[in-house]
Amino acid sequence: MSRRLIAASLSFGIDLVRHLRYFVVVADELHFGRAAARLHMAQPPLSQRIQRLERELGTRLFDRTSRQVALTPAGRDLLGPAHDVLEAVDRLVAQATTTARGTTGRLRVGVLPEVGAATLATVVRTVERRRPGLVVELAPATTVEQLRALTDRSLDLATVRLPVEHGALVVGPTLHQHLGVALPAGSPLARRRRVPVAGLDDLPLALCPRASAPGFHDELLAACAARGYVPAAVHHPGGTAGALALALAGTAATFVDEATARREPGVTWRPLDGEPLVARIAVVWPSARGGGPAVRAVADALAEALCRDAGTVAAGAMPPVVHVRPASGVLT
Amino acid sequence: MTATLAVDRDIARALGRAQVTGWLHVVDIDRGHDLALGADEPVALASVFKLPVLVALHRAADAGELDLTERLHLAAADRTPGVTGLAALHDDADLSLRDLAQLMITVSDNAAADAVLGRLGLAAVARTIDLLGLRHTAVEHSCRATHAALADDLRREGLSLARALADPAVLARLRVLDPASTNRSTPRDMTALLAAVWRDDAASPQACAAMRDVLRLQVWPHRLSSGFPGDDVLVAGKTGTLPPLRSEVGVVELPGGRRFAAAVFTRSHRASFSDPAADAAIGAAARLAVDHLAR
Repeated sequence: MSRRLIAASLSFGIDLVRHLRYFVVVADELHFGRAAARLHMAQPPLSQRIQRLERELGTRLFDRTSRQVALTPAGRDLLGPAHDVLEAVDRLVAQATTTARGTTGRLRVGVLPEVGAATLATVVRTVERRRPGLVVELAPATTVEQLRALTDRSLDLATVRLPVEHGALVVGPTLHQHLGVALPAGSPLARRRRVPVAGLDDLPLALCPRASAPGFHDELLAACAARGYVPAAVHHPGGTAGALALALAGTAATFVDEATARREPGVTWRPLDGEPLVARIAVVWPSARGGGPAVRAVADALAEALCRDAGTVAAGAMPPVVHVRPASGVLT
Repeated sequence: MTATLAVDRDIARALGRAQVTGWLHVVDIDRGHDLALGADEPVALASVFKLPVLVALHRAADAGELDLTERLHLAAADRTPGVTGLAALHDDADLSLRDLAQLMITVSDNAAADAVLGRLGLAAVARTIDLLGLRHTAVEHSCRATHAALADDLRREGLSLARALADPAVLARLRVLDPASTNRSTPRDMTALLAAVWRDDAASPQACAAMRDVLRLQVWPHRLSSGFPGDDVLVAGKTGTLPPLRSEVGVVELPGGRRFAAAVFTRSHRASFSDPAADAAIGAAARLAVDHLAR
């Protein structure tokens, strides 16, 4: 760090880390009331602290009207670096805690990149509360990257989109995420309360790259086809943000859960008409390395946080519809 | 050597694209050279177990222990249920043992299979397996017993099979999918059994010819057969289905007379009863192997 930057960071008149945490939570919720509730504080002091942070940074982070809160372009630019700082601080604190206690209770946990920071924070807090001394290192990565990392032992647990080859895995808590469609606010489809999948017609589909979760990718396309939607083209932007960008631009349809869509200003989310499209997410770990109580605790904390914050429900909450054909019947 | 690696890779790709794990053995019946991919791994047979039952039935007939034209009365209420053949029919029926065997093979009729097995006895099937030297094969359960084990396990889990299919953790606990606790074999044992039928070694030449005829009448076009669409190719076989398991063992006879026994077993990563990609991958994998061996 240059001398000038050190001087700049020392010149802040506020607890920068604390204020950045307020910033990312408000950016996540885009609602001061909800953000304050999550931060266990009242709304007025939260608003004051965001204003204070804006003064210190010399730029407005949010546009506030009486009806809604939106990130300014500057706010959007600063959100990534804010997350970087907070992650670095978390790592530092985790390392210090471990060093101080002399414990090696550390689990490296893969998480899907589209899972929000707030959800992950809930996981960390829950684990801290239930198993003091156990340090959770979160690593955002795609399903395939996480499975590879389990194999080469750089992860202990993974959060993956099913289906995956599960021969060598213990499949822990499994969650279902109901998908809806993300639309630009002006889209004629957005006028409908529920959108039929077949109604997407000849719109191209934006979908995570096949290489990131081939099982999920193919299953989703098959489910679309079964509902009468065969996209004219399939775009593979990197990540959920890219897919939402194409949806916002009106150049492609994309399927996301409601919680993810709500985090993106300008996106209108509509549930699907007819048989639901369901994404399945599971916490898995290698059967060879066993799942001790620490692994179970983290898996449960992940599942609970995803259920609460990411619009998922525990698997089994919905009965599947099955018409068995002779050629696929049991014992044919 | 390089060619073998290339075909192995192509087969692995075909299976991977269909999202299945596969175990296969394909062998040239007359020359003996073969292609193996997990060929000695234990696999659950599902309905493929009806093939050793067919062979045991014909050996029993050869030995004069029963007459293939002997008629059995199958009351509708006592029949093993299923989705094809007598198992799906409504009324009482009287059929000869060989016609029941034909339904058992051609449409995988569970009621017919259990009737044949009931007349024959599991011990006779075990003797046939032993005499033919199939050291990794065991047939210990009827269709009814397999259904019951599945129903027991699902009751314990409190789930329907459709629900269980979506939950890999539950699937891992189902006994009917675990080779150790259900009818089992290996791809190599199954090609050995087929080769014996095609070489007239499994029973008398007349019995082997009858078995080949029946196996060529199997109705399913979606697995092995899908890999060999030419009108000049003969495909005979027996499928096995117990989602997520799908398999077929059979013989492919090419124009010019070369014959290959193929046993392809798959386990799908998808949670659905209908899985056309997995079905087709069985044909695609066998085709790649046969093309390689037939060069």
